[in-house]
Amino acid sequence: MGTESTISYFFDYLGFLIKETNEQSIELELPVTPFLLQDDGTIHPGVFATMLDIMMGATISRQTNSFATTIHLNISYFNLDPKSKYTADTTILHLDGKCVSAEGVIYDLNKNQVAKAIGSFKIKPIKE
Amino acid sequence: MAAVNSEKFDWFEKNSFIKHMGFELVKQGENDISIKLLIDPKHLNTQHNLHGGVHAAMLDTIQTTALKSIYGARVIAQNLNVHYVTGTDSGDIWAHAKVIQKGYKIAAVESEIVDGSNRLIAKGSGVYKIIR
Repeated sequence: MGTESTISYFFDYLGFLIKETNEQSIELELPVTPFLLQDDGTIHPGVFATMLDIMMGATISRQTNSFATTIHLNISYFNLDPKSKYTADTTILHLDGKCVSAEGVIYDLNKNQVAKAIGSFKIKPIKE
Repeated sequence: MAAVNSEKFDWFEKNSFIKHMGFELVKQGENDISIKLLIDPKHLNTQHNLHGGVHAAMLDTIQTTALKSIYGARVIAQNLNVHYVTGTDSGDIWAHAKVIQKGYKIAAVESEIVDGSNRLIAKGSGVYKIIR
């Protein structure tokens, strides 16, 4: 399942970079490389799903000092044409002791939304 | 069960993301196409579970494959919905899909991922635009 404490091996494998971080949020950057593309030249939807899952999971982890496990993810795709770079933002919509709902958006370089997701996550406190 | 060698699925072999992920197209019956993935450490998150992005990529790929085999046309994902049911970290997993609505311009598909013991790992559904 999509558990995130910080960042994953899969994160490295797809070539994601952490651009800026602070205690409250992180910003991810995805340089587009040929292996992220499909036979028709578009970005594979799984790449954006991965980016949104990582962003939401990692942001929740930081803000709650917990492991976040993805329970559900619903993604809408607006534009799969490849751009040189993407960034993503997360907003936590609701948080209680065990469950978190969050929203993630991916932008291209011109700040156009290319994909948006709503996710539900189960959280478990990280033992110090 | 055999690897699929059909011109109808040439696109699958030419898709660099699919190759990068390690998805394999297999035929289990006359009209039953599946995707197999042997889970590798590169597919895991830091908790050593299969990363949620892998499930999503696999479900989208099998849904796209099911639609392309019916329409013989390019399809574009509009929406993908994933329920993560059970964690897994090794062995083979399989994805299957069923087209539930065949429209002229839009189609809907549902799919699931199971492990070698037929345990449900994830359930998905999606809406796709058909490019004619």
